[in-house]
Amino acid sequence: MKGATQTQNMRYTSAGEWKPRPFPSAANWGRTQAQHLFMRAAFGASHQELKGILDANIPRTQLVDILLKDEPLPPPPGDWINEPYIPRGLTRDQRRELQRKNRERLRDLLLWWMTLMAKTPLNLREKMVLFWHGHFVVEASVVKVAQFLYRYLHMLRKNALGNFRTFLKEMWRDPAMMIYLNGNQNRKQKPNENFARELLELFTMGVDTLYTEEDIKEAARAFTGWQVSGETLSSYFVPGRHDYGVKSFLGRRGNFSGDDIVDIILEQPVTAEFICRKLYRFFVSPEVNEEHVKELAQIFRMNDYEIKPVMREILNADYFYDPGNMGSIIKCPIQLAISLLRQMTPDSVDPLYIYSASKTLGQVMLDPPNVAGWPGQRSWISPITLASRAYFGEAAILGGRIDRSNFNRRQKPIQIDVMAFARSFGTDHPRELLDRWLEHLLPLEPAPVTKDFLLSVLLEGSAENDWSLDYTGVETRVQNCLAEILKLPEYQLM
Amino acid sequence: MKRREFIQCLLPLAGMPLVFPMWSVANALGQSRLRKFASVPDDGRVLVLVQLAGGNDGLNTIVPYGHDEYYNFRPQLAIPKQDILDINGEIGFHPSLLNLKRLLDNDRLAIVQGVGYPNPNRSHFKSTDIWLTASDSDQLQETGWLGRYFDRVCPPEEDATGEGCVSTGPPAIQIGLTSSLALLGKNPRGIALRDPLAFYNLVSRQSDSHGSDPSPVPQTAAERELAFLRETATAAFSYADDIKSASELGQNTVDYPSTSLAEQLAIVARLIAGGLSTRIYVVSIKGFDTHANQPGVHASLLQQVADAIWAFQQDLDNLGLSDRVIGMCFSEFGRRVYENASSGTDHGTAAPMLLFGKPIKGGIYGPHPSLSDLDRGDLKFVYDFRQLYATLLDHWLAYSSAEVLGSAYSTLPVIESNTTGTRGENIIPDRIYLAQNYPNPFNPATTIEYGLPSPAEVEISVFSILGRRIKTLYQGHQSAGVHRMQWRPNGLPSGTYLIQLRVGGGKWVRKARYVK
Repeated sequence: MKGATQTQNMRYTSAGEWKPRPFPSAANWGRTQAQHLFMRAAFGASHQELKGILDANIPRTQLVDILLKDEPLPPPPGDWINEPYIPRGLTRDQRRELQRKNRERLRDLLLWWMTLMAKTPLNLREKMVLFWHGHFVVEASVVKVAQFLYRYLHMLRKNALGNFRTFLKEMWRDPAMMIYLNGNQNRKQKPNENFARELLELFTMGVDTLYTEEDIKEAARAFTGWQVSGETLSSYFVPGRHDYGVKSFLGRRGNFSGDDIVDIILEQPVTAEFICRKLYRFFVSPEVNEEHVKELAQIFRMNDYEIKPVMREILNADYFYDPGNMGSIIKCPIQLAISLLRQMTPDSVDPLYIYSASKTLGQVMLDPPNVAGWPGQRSWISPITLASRAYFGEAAILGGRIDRSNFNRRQKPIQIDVMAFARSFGTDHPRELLDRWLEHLLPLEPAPVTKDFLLSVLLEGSAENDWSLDYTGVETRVQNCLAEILKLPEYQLM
Repeated sequence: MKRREFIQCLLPLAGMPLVFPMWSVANALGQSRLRKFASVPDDGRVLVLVQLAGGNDGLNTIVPYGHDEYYNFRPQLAIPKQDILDINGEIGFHPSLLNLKRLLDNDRLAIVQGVGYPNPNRSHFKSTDIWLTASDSDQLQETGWLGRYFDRVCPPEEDATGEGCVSTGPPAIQIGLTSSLALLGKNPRGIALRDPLAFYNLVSRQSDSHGSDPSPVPQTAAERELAFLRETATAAFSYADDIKSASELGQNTVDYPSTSLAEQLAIVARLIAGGLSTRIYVVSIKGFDTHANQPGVHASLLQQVADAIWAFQQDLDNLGLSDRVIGMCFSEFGRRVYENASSGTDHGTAAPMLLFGKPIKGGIYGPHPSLSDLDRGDLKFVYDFRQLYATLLDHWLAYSSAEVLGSAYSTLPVIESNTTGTRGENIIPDRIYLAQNYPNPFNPATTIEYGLPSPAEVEISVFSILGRRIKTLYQGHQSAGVHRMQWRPNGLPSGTYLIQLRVGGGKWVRKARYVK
């Protein structure tokens, strides 16, 4: 093959088989690594963004610091977020009106969130919010009230890169969480264990670790006495419902409050490991290296559960950029939809499109399958969803409609200006152009045979040296070729 | 809070070298086919949903020309009496619907009048979702009614990929760009395709059919995930392969009109004839949102519907399939009783629903909704649409509708009770029985048949000869009739196994011999 280099030879095994590896990069910090960082820590970057960063020669550590920078919290989706929620004493029509408004607000809230994810510049926080939402799960179908759900999202955003101890203490009093896991019904006379169980099992220590059923019961007693108020849209303490008795929890005895329980949980090394393992799975690789998790957990504890130092470590770590880990994560639907837009048409981001596309592919924010969140990774993929993902890619390029029902006039088909995208790479040679596209859109280099196929789609009968983006009829070829790229199994990975 | 068990859909081949060229991919697929466990009764029955998107004007479809109010409400749009194709002196067809009239005359069309639901929603989006999910209007469910049906007949916990739900092809097919919400269960159960060959090309590209693309044994996390995706693409390819060969084997026998809906139904007929055991097909036609200049547009749309269904019926007859297929037309709502100022009609409520096919007991069901007793200018519904769904589930898909729909709805006698399907499923036995499985001895699969004289909670399980439970094949509510399921021991040793049927307090047991 013409121009076969040393690097390319390394991509074959001794038996002559192709090894799917990340694109070769000039040094250990280059386009491939920068792109990897932005896919994982944000929702992908456009070619222009990447080029700007690489041209400016910003070192890796400094780039990670930029990603970790505290941006101001976004303005809320509307004034309604402070409107008291008082469903009592209403007539039938008033109640219906309230329900209608609430539905509208939930929709606004979701679209507001989609916009934040898609439009926030290169910053880690929105990715962390997605992570924490999948961790501290609530479901809109249970919480129902848009004001509470907004407050929950605000709490996630505020603490996303803050201190995990503060986070836990705000999380357990959060009205949406209290409604979702029955904290509201948890009182001395009749304790409800739902929250305490999930706190230990899913939020902090992990299932089947060092706690017992008795610990769950005792923790539940410590969390008693809190109520949610629709008037103030917050939770408040009712002394008469709180259990002031002595509790024994994880070998300690005392008149513990909910916050005391959080502090005791954070004394357990297993907690830091549990969280760091989950972060590792989400950001680094589905295959967990327990050595790395132990290191991260130690950093977490040494910094009194500040989240930033852990994330700084992860995003700078050599293992984060290990070729075996790059391309090892299967994009969740929301990532798939947003990164497609961010990589190809960063200026035209339609939140309704992102909502519909990710819903079609099986993911809706505030509607995870259950309290354990999205299992992620391979659970996204079945023969049927894979075919849907192929359609999604094809439709995005060819201008199709991604809606669930056949009738939804509110949603226009997404229009990606493929020619603008194609030209942005500054070359007019088909083979080079294809290489640039592949490098930009895929985490792993496809095999030569696949490239040959894609090139044949791009050329479609014309000669390699007689081909230009300015020729008439080339747009269809560009579209067909890009559609094929988005259908490759490699495109499902990041 | 109930916790769902998460099943990682690890394909058994993941981790094996992916070095086989195309011919052996096909071979591997043949192998994987052997693992399939068909839970949907293998009775060959098919349901075709025809979605009339946009809100079809029911009053100008089945016209209540015997009601004077109709002409008062619609000075511009009313169909003149002399043009109407009369049904019973009170109602008649829109003149474009000659072919539906012929179906009615042939006892193949049921018109169910005034179908709607309480507290109707007039948003296209919302009302469509209500219909597709079979929800109450104030409490939208997240899964589709047919998705929930598949979740119960082949639970995703046992069948994460949906692969074994029916024996050949996917459980459901939507002809179109995206799969209908109606087919969304815990997992998606429907594949969307516009054209069987295009679907084949789409999916086969994914599974590396463009060249042998040899991959070594995966060594890194990324390579393992890529191998997994390729494996799954291969399974998707097996659907695509089933669909492609069915569409090539099946031949249409009539010339369908060259409309989109007719072409969609032609594909459905071809796929059924070609041997897919897909249970549900969804086709659609849009444009019914006739706010302005309704007469010409609506007449043309109705013509397309009637002619497409007529051709489909003739094709099914010629192909010998008409006993196995019924269809249902639905729309998210009807339109307002009074016309608007732009020669159109605005979003309304109840409308007639049409069921067609040889197994349908033709005729008119229910009274026409009153045109004098209106609810703020809209018709009051006579039947809840979920009664139709219940009818289809209980009497056609042979599954308890109360379970799928969450409440019991009274059914309508629109399906012929002597319908036999292909293999006489509708016979109601006079007592509970468990037949000897066949073949026996067997390899690789055997069919288990049992009968229920009345609907009942049923458990059917396989035990080792020492009484250890090997597998629960089915547990849940089932309708009266004859039920069959297949059992594939999948890697169990040769030997004698006990098949046990439990109904109420009673147990029935048969011995089955598996020989390798």
